[in-house]
Amino acid sequence: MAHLHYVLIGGSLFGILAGAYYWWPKMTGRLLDERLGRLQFWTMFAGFNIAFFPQHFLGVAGMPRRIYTYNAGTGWTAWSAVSTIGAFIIGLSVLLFLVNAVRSLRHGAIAAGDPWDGRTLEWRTSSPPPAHDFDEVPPVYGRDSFWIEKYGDTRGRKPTPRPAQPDPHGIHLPAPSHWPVVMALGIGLAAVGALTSLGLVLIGVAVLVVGAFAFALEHHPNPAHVSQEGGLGVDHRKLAMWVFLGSECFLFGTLIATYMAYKGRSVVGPLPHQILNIPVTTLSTFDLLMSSLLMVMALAAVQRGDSRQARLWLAGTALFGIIFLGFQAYEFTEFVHQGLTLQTNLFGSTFFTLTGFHGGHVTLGVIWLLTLLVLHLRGRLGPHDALKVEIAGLYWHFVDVVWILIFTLVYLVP
Amino acid sequence: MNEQTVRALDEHDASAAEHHPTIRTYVIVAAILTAVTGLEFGVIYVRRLAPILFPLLLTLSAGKFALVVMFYMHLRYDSRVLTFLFVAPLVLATVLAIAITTLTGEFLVFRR
Repeated sequence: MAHLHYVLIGGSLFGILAGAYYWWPKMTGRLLDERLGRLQFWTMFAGFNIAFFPQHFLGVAGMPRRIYTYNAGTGWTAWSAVSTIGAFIIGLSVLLFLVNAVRSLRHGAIAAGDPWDGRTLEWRTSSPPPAHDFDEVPPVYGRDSFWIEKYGDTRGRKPTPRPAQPDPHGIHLPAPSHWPVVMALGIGLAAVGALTSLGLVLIGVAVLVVGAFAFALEHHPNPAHVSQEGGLGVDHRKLAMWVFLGSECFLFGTLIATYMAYKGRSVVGPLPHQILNIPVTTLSTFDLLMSSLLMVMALAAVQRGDSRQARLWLAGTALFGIIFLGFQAYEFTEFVHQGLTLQTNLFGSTFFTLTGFHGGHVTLGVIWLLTLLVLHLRGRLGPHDALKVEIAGLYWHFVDVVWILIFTLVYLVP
Repeated sequence: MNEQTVRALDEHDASAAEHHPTIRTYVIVAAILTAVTGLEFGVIYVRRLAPILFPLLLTLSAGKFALVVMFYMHLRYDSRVLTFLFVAPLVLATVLAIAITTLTGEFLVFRR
C-alpha cells in the first residue's frame, strides 16, 4: 500500500501541481504568489511523507489496501493515526493552493508573455494568449524553438529574424456556437443511459442528432472560409476526411478480423449457413452500390449548379440508404426470431457487432445526406459549396466499400 | 516532404483536375459493379469452382473496392497525398487483420 501511494502521489499529484504552477500565468495572465507557493510545496511534501511513509510499516504488518476499518488488536492503530494526520496536512496544502489561486486571480502580479524564460512556443505569445494564439504562424527552428530564437542553438548561432508577414486576409476564427455543448450533453445522457435505461439512451441520441443538425445548419457566410487549402494543395476538410477514413480502415479491419477469427467456433446454433439469406443480401448490396452512383450524380449536379437534379439525387441517395437500413432491420428481426441474438454464440456476437457498426455508419450517412438536402432546399448549397457534398460523398462511398468486403467475407465465403 | 516533392504533387494535381470523370464513366462503373455483384452471387453456386472460390471472391470484391475508391471517390484523379493517407492505413489494417486471423489459427489465405 505504501508503494502504490508513493508512486501515485509522488508521480502524479506533484506533477499536476507543478504543471498548474507553471502554466497558471499563461492561462490567467497573473502570477501565483511565490511565498504561498513555497509554503504549499513544503506542507504537501510533509503531508505526503507523514501520510504515506508509515504505510510501509503498516504494509509489512499485513494491512491490505481498501479497507475502511479493522480490529483493534491488529496493531495498526498508531501508524494509521499518523497517516491520518498526514492526510489532513495534504488537505491543508491543497487549501493553500486554492487560496493562492483565488488571490492570484484578484490581486496577483500581472504575468508577462514569457515569465519563466521558457523554451517552447506557448511562451512566445501574450499571457493569456489571444483566441487565435498567434497573430502570425511562429517560425519553428527546432525542438526548443523559442529558446533557439532567443539564445541561439547549441553553437550559439541565432536564426535571422524573419520580417513580419501578416496574413493579407486577416485572422479568421470559426464563429462561436453553443451546439457542440448540446451534442456533448446528448452523448453524456446516452452514456448514462447505457448504464441505466434504454429510454435515456434514446433521449441522449435524439439530443445529439438535434445538436448535430443545428450545428451543421448554422450558416456563417464568410468568404474567407470558402477555400481552406493548406501547404499540400488540398483543402483541410478533405484531407481530414481522408485521414478519418484511414482510421476507419482500422476500425472495420479489426471488426472483420474478429468475425473471421471466431468463424466456425460457435458451440451452439444458429450457424451462418443455416441463417444467412444470400439472395436478399445481394439485393441490399446492389441497393447500396447504386446509392454510390446516385451520390456521384448528386455531386456532379451540385458542381454544375443544377438545383433540381441535385435535390433529386441527394434525396435518392438518402432513400437508397434508408432502403438498405430497411433490409438490415428485416434481417436482424428475422435472425432474432430464429434465435440468433448478440448473446447466443460467437457468430451472433461478432456478426451483430460488425454489421451493426456498419449500419450505424449508414444511419449517420443518411442523416448527413438529409442535412445537405435541407441546406440545399434553403438555398445554402450552391456550386461553391460542392466540397461539402464531395466530403459527405467520400464518407458514403467508404461505407459502401466496407460493405463490399463484408458482403464477400461474411455472406459469400462458405 | 521537400519542395520538389510538393511541386511534383502540385503538377500531378493540376493535370488530374483536367481529367475529372464524366457521368458516362460513373454509369459504366455502376454497370461493372452490378455485373460483378451478380457474378459473385452466381459463382458460389458453381460446385466446380469450390477449390478456387475464396481467392476468386476476394479478387472480385477487391476489384469492386478499387473501382469505387478510384472513380467514385476520385482517388485516381486527386492528389497523391490523399492516396497515401488512405492506402497506407488500409495496408496496415489488412496486415493487422491477417495477423489476427493467423494468430487465432483461422488463416484464410492458405488453408492447412
